[in-house]
Amino acid sequence: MKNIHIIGVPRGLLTYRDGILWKEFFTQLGFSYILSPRSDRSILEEGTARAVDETCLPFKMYLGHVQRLLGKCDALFIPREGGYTPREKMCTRYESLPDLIANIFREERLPLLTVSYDWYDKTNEEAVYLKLAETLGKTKKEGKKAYNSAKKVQDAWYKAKEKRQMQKLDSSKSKVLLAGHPYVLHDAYMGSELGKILEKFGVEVLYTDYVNKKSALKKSYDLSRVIPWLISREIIGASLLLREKVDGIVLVSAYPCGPDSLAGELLQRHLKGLPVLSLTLDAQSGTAGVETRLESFIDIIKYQKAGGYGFKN
Amino acid sequence: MDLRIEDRKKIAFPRIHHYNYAIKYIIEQGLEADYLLLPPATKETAELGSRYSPDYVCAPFKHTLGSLIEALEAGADILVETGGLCRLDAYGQLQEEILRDLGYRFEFVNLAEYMGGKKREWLRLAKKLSPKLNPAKVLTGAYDGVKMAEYMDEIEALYYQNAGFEAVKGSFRKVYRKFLLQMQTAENRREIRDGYQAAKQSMEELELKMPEHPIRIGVVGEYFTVMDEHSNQFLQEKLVRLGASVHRFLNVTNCHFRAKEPALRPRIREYTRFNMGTTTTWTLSAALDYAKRGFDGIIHVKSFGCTPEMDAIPVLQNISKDYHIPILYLSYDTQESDTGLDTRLEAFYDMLERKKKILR
Repeated sequence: MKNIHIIGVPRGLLTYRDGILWKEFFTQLGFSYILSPRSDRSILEEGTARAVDETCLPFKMYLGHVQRLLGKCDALFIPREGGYTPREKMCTRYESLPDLIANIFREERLPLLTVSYDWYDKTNEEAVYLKLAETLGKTKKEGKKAYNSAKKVQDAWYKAKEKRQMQKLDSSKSKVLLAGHPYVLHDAYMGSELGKILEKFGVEVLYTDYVNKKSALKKSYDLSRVIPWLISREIIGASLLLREKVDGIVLVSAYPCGPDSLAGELLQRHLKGLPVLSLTLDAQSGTAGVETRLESFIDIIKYQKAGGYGFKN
Repeated sequence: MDLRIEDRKKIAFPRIHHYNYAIKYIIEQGLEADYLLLPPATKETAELGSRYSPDYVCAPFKHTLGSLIEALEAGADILVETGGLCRLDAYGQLQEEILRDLGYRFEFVNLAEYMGGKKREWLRLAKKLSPKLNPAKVLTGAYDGVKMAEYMDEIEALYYQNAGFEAVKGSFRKVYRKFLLQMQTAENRREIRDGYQAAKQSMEELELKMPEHPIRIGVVGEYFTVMDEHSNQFLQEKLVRLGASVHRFLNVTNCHFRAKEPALRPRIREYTRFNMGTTTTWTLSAALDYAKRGFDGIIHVKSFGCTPEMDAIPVLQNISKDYHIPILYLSYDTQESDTGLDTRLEAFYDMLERKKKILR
């Protein structure tokens, strides 16, 4: 793996979860790190042209981001993150991601960098990143240093987010929790519009991925012992932790998300008594429809808060 | 031996292809408990299931939920749902909640909770299902049940590979049907073996009118839908009637009792580096095998939204390009009619036939 100077990372999927770790890790090791631009309609269209019709929206978007990086970097970083334990693994798409990208972009022959781990491998995060540093021709010591400092930066970043979110809970405004996969919630063309719309209506917006991950994960076992997906567990746990503290929850899903089709349904069944709006995003071109639904949802919350329905518990 | 039939608890499992006969055998002969064998699924089964299912859940969820409802209405006391490496792991809990909301009373055993667990817990589960458990009987029961599943897979493969060329119309079906009935009623190892031997012998003796260059089609795809003929609208039977020899690698024998996934992965090394999840390695290695062996076409079967199988498609497209083998992609949800499928299969078969003539 020589002659690699610029490493490109598509701005999609788990970049919204581990992106900071990757950025710090690669820059610490002395590589240039470029992210694809923020999502927009044209990126989605380019991705859709490459994708199988019925794949989920975030993956179509991801393909668009890969496309944007072609010719701009020496190697693409496409991690294979299968999860570390059988009850906290990932959707199978993450197991297949590097092979998928390699097959879809076969003609382009761009070198792929990857970290690979799976729930049956019995490995940990540090070990897989050290291995990645080795394939990049760095020593173990350099790899370890880069990983440790990257981990520190990422932890600090999340801690700051968690703290800010805790402060929001003290606000006197109505509070709405956006529950969903981070790459749906924060993507410029998918979920981040929702947050803006809600704020426009004068609502404090909270996110499930800015809740402490460890405590959310632990809490999720209250609801289910069998749900196999890590991120679904974090969404469930965060929603359960905050259910008493927020006025409503918007479950945001991207069509057709496999884990959400079951985990979302389960969660919804256990949030009775709290206003819950289930929003499924697809490749729609305008936000007017979503805006109307959010507005009426906020009306319901306000009515409920004023004692309107009389069954607030 | 007591005869209080109504006191004994009846165990039910969702329908999955012909394997319910083996499950019945293991539960009745091994655990010495009562098993409730459902009649073949109908269109209503799927309708019933999808009525109470979440929006965009995969079709097997709907079929199995429909099965469970029918089992409850037929008097099942204990429902068993399994787990797996994909969404299947989360089926059990949600299905239990849906069924309880519908007002049914039952015991629920979610095997997903036991998977990867200790032997002790499995034993506890077996004791729960059958208090007067005889461990030796469980072992031989399980062994014979597994053998039965293997025999059924073998006879089924023979049937679909040859029935398209039978000299006397219906002769293969007759043998196959008799064999399945024997498996359904088998109560010991001898009956299983005799049934298998008779069926295999008769099938091999049946007269074939094999053309010089028969059309061979390989069927690959998602575990449940590709095997369960009620889910795939009798796909293989339809192909047989068009006159093709139909091969399917994916069955319980090949997936669980033969070479494991890591052993197959080197075969598809030119396309993938890693395990792409659940059944994808089986799908890809079978497809590549068909391509290399000069099959005429491949049909890829999955339920709508099945993530692992969807991820196999880009690789299949590359295999199709490299080996010039046509692949038909079928995505199933719960359908009303199968006219659409008939048309597509006929067109696909005609295309393969024509391609064969031109190339020859």
